Amino acid sequence: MGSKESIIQALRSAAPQSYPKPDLSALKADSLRCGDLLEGFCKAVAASGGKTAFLEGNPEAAAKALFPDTDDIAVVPGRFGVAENGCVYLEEPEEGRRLDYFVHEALVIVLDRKEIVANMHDAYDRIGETVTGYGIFISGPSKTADIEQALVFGAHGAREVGILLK
Amino acid sequence: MSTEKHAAAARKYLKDTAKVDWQDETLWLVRGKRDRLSKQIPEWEALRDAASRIKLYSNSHLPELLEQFESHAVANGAIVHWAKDAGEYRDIIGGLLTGHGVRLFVKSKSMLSEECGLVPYLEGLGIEAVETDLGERIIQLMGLKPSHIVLPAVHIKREEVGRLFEKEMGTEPGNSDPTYLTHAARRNLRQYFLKADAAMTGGNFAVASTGEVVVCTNEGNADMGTSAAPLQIAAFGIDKIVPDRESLGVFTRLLARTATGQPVTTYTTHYSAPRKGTEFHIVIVDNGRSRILADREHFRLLNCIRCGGCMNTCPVYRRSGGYSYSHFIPGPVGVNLGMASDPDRHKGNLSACTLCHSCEMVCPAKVDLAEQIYRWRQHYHTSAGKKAISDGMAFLMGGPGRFGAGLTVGPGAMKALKAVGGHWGKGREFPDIVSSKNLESIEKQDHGK
Repeated sequence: MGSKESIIQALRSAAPQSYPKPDLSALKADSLRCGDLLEGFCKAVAASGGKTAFLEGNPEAAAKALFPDTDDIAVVPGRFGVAENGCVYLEEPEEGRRLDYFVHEALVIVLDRKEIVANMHDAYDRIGETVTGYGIFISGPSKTADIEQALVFGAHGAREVGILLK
Repeated sequence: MSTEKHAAAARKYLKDTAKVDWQDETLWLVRGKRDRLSKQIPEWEALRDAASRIKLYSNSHLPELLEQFESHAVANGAIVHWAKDAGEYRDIIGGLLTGHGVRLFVKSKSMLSEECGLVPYLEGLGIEAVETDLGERIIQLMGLKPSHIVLPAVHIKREEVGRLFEKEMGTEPGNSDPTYLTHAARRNLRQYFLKADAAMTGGNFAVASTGEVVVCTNEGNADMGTSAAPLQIAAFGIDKIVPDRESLGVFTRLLARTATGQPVTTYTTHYSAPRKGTEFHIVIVDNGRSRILADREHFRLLNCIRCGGCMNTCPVYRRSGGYSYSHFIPGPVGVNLGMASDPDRHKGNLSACTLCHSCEMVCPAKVDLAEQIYRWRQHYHTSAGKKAISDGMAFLMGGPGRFGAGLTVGPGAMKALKAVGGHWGKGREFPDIVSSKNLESIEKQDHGK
């Protein structure tokens, strides 16, 4: 018998009591929603260590204006933002270069200011069950507190993250 | 093995009182952050309830959910492996790496890899295995093991990291500024990320309906590794299965808030298909989890999402440190996981609990941690001295005659108890019992006042 079969058999013979799948609709309906999604999102991005700005004109120029101290900036499109925690959802980047999301000094995400959902329940409802190969929520710059719980930005990923709202 | 093993180890740890206080305050700070964040969410208790119910559903439907996960993962282009135990886990990963000619292997934090002894095994195969989470890297370079599952180097002082990085990364002598040291590690580890032949992560969640593995991190080390290397491996225990993305909405709201007091981790990455031109392998591991599932008194342990929240709140963990426990996972959940894996080896941790139940109040998936420790104690007496005292008390309280006789000999008996109390008696007060004659005169004095 293969390992898969013996694991499945062990799980079947464990025969735990069967618990029903919970209905999450009441929880989702009652979950925290801020009044102004855009305002809530911008506050949450700031709390995560990121910046937001309204985009007028060229995204590359706006990105440079946001982070004038570096030339190593990636500018990428985001699908939608999440007001409760400042996350932006991104999918597989062009030509599969996932590294672009992490390897540069600064990451600038261009986002439609109308594309903000309230919380992670709404976020996953928005994505649905469609599989695109890769998806990521990014909330602010890379960070760590592994040395004496002191918060430091720029651990391994982008040191700075900006959201340009178009 | 002594059943007082934790107490004996903790006694050594407690000698450095300044470090004990610092460690206690650090962990309490994280617990405080968790409290502030959770109180901003009015539906917090409903979220915990939902998380617990989703886990109970998932863990009681594992065969179908795992098969569903596998069929979706295969359709996405991943290659799925199954490991019954730690040996198979090591063989599968070792085989993949040697088969692909891997010399340099970068990994992000995975408690499963600690559980299965992966890194020492790979080093035996001549593969350089580099931990890339900053805390894990510090621990690895020091030749130590994590003392906390989310904050692996929480017991290390900045000066120790400064001296370590001076030796290993050539940082300035005497500089122990956390920002300076973190950025030195950033530069140092970049070369490994960009040169690595393979990268591995654990998995916080595995979604049955999509076949994707979800990894939640702050540093970006998992993402750097998996986005650069030509071979990606993700390995997780069968208890990481959740039914669908709707469930992720519940867990991603709870995990970071409880673990570190953040609204969410910096990166919540969903891996389903391999990057173009690369391979993505998934290893599904049992290693004793099906045995826990069969245990009616302890199967709720599988609800655990490894947030570490129970450690930050536990009064015993905070004041005894991760290394006082014999299991590689310490704190309330570690006491239970150790007992579930090898009770004779780990029963010495059972005394590391005051039954205050704070862990159960904090646990985002409502694992009955303290109740389970209590249940283990019913089968494994924690100390011979305590058993003698408890049997003696049962006899003494067994009838009014015995009780009365007990009172008469009380003053002398208390002295005897102090002598036989042993480990159980250490740190406990044994108040003097006054004789009944003296008691009468004390009462008279009191009434006279």
